[in-house]
Amino acid sequence: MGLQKFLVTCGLVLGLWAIPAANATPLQPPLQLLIDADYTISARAAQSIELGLRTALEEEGFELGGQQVEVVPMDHRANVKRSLRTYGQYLKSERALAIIGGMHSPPYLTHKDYLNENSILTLLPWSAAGPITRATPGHENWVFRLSVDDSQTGEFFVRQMEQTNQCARIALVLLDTGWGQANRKSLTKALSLRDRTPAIATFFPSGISDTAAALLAEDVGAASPDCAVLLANWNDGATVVNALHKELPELRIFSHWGIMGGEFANEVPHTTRSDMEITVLQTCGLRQEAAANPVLQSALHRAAPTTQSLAEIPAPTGFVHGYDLGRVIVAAAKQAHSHSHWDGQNIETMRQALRTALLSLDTPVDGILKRYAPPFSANVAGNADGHEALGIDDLCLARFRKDGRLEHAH
Amino acid sequence: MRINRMANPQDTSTLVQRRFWSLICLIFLLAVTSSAFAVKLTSTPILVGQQNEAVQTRVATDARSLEALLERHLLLLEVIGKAPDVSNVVMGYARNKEIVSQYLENGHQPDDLSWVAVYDILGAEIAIHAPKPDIRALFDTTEIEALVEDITGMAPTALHHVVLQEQGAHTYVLLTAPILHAGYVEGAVVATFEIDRATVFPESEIVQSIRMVHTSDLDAGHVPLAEGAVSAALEKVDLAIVMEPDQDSVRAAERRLFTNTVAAIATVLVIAFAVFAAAGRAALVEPHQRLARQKKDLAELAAVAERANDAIIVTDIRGIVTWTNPAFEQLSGFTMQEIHGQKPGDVLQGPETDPEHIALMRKALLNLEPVKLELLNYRKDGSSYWVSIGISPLSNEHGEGYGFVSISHDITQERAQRDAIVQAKQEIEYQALHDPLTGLPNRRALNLALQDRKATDPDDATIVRIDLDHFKYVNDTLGHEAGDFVLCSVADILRDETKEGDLPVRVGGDEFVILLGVGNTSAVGETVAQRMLERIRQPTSFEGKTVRVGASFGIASTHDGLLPIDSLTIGADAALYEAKDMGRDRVRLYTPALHDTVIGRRTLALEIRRAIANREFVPYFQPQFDAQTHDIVGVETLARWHSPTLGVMHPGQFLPIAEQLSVVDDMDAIIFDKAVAEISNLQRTGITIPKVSFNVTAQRIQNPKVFDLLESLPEGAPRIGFEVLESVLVEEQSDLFSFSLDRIRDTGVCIEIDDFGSGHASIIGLMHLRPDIMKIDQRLVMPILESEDARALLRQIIGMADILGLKVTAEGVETMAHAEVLAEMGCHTLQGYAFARPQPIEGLKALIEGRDPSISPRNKRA
Repeated sequence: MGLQKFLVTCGLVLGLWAIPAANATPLQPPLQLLIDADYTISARAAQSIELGLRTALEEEGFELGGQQVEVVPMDHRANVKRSLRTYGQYLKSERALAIIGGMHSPPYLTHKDYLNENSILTLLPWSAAGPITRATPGHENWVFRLSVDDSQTGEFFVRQMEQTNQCARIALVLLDTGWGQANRKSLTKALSLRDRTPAIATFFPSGISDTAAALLAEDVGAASPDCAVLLANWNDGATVVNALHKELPELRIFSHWGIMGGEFANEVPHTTRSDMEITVLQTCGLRQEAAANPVLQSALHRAAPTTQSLAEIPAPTGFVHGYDLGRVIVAAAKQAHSHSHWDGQNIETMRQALRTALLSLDTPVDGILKRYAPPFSANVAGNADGHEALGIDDLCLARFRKDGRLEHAH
Repeated sequence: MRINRMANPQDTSTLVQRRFWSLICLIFLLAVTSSAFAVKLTSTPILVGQQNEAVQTRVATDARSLEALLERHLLLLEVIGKAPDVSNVVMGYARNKEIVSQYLENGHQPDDLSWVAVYDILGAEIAIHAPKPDIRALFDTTEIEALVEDITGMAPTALHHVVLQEQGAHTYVLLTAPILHAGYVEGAVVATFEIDRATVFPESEIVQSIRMVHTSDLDAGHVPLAEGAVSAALEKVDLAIVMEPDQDSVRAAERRLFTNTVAAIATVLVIAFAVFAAAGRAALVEPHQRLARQKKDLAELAAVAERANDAIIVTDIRGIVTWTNPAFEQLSGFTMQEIHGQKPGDVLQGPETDPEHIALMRKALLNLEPVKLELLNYRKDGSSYWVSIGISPLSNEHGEGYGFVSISHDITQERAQRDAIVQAKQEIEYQALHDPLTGLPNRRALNLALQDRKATDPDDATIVRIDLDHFKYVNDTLGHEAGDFVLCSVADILRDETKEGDLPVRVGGDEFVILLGVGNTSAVGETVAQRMLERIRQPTSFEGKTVRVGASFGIASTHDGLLPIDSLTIGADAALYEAKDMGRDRVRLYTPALHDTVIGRRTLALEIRRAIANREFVPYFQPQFDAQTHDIVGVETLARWHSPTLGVMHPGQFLPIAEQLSVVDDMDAIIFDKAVAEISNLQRTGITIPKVSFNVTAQRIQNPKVFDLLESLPEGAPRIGFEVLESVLVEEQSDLFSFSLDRIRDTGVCIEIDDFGSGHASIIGLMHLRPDIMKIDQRLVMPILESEDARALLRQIIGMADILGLKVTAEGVETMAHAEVLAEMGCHTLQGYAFARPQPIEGLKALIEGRDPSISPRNKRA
């Protein structure tokens, strides 16, 4: 099913459902969940997150603790500055309850302190940069994540490479952003725990050209690695992988999931993907699908009745995480609604109430990936992962099928 | 003929010329003026149009120049906008803005860059680099913000918006370029560049002012434009160039262009009129001048004809007289009235006028050709006279003949003188080429004929050489008149017996030559010669006395293939001498055998010349003995030629050729030198030779070098004796000979008369020469044993010598019997084979030293 056809189907379903709500006469405008994502370059990821979130909200009739809620896409087009503008709008808004992040980490990594200082409730279903959810000491932590935590992916990648692939020389090929820098630290740390060092650690800029990619591949080739960890957006990733394939056709690639959410599979031929045994870091949605998880089946059915599998949804990670995060938000709103601060009038108190509920959710939440019991806890000393809903055990590897879709890599 | 006084053609010509040039100048001025007017009318709109076009072109050029400059600046900004370091910061991926600042500072910065800044998508300034910070103050922040907002909100390919600022003479333009990420505008690079107006808009005299405005303002009519202003919008930037032309400059250019154009036209017209004037002058003025000159010349000619000394007759085309001048009347006696209407020939020519001359004249007149000849005419009184007459046809300007003019003058006397000179010349030439006695052609005529023959038929010539025999006898006995008679008779025979084409010649004395005509061989020559010999042999009578002569003939012909024509005379001479040698009175041909002999002589001659050069001649010495004691009293030196090719040659073998070659003197000199030297050397060995005698010719005696040689002989040299033939003494009786002989005698040389008795010397003659010794010819000596007459004659000679005080030497003493008889008869000295043969110096030395006793006369006698 093409992306366009899929979205039209989703729109019809959600639109029909929304008619009764639209006919009601609420006292207040609906609450807003602002999706701060790249709807231009990495539109699939943003739309997939939105779909998952909407699917979860739909199950509750787009109510959060008795308050109508709407999802407002805010396209930052990968520009951190636009996210900052969205933050400003959020702070000025009296209905914006929370910001739902997109796949990019930089907007939150860069403005983590700003977010926390201004009590901007930020819920991230995809961004993986480790530091995002670890507030600067002295700051209240308003950022929560239901996604991969890069501070754990390093260990995960190294463990996978050791266990399954017997990599002797490992190259780190990373996007030259804070996200990439953070991954270098985590990967290097994981290797050093095993008394190993990367064969080469190299960075490339966003929007890398073919020529620069070729030079990068030469540098990597000079280190003669047999495995590489790739951290990139789909577009830069495709350019870099194609260049690496020319230089080192048998190099095995373990990619962060940044290459998902776009046209990577179309830009990188199957032969290249097959030659390089490209595997992609995933949460374990595909494994759950394989296990016939009923939550997943229900959500898929609700979101896209005609789809047969999760892989048919573009950037399925976004859908799975968005859905699970939506269910967590719904659960937290329900819990907050039981307190006096959830009055639907003061947005700031409602934000605070929701945050509090997120940190102290009383009832487990069943998601696609797992049962969150609870998803978050206070991010205090000794609990650096308190704002992480997922852990290293929730990570899996996926590989590309010939048709470009992912399948669980056993 | 009426002769009119003509107007002065010089005046007419000047007038015509003046009119012609005035007309040319006037037309030229009119042409230039009208051209200028036409240029003014037609060119002004064109000039204005060209001016406008120039301004349009200029403004378009300046616009392109400005756009190119701005595009370069925009390209620089785009490069900045695409730099990953910049976009990373602008996108918020990197928080260190210093990266951008450093990038801007370290990047390429053109000189005209005032400042450059980077803005993010929110319009916030990320970094700025300002080499000229003051310039930024010229721009309002709102302008910059608007520009950034504009570019971050629009597609990057749209028209570039810019901001212009001017400060004094400086113009600044604020440019902006997008910062792109994944193809989307995520920020802006803003920069200000100074526009160097002098470079972008070069000065031009046609431009008064030039300024930059926004295209949008221009399109909206917000820009006030002066009259004639022209604008050009840039394609990619919101800017336009507005140019206001300099009207004064335009008008000045118009004037200049007008002036230049008119000057150019005037120049071309000058050339054209110069050509026209030259052609016109040739076509109009010069013919007119020529006509005037012709009229003048005609008038002058008429006057000249009237006064001329030559007789002039003018006729019409039929030859009828129309005019004569007074000179004609004086020459012929006919007045113009008398001859008018008649043909000159009918009046002037008479019975002795050469009909050929008349025919020649008529033919020329019929063909209208000029003719010049000498003609015999008759006067009115019937007397004849010669004229030199030239008749020329008269024709008009179309070349059509309308008459004739004859000019003649009397050459009667001149012709008589000329005939006399020609006759004299012919006489002189005849005499030069002919023998005056016989009238036959002479040697010079023969040489010329041979030259002609050589030029025309070099391989076809036969010569008969004739020499009369005993002619000297006729002269001596019958006198020279008889000799001349004989010569004339022979000449007549030669004339009779030769045919046309043959050339009989008297080459001198009694020698004749006939060069036979072409085609005649030596056989023909022999036949002719035999015929002539028969007639010459016939006795003739002169003054009652019978005269007999014979003749010897030598014939040579090129047909025999032996001689070329140049050598034919020599060959005929050789044949003639052979005829003479064979007894005269006969005919001999130059045969191959004779040819070989001649060639042999010639070879010998060459050898002799070489031998002289190599001094191959050697002295042989024949001793002379005292008749009583048989002591050697001297030697006669005889010449021998030791030829390396021919062996030892005796004088009889080479002397005749040497005489012909005139080299005897040279040979004698060699023999003399060698003999004196050898005898001197012999004397140094103690052998004394009292006298050394040499045979000398009359020429040698008269050779002053011989005297000098004798004078220079060293002390102790042997005594020299010169033997002179009796025949020489008889023939040479000149004063020089006597003088030379005296001088030689004075040097101590002994003078001996050789071969006495063989010639015809008179005793008286001999006495004049005062000889010392008389050598008796061996032909008188040899018969003395058998002939009493011979002994008696010898006795008389010896007696006569005694009377004269001469010593006598007998030659040809063959035997000792001869020696004894001669000694008894009173001979003083004996020389001959009985004593010794001639021998070289070595033999002489051996003889004297007694090494060869077999030849010693003493021993023989013993």
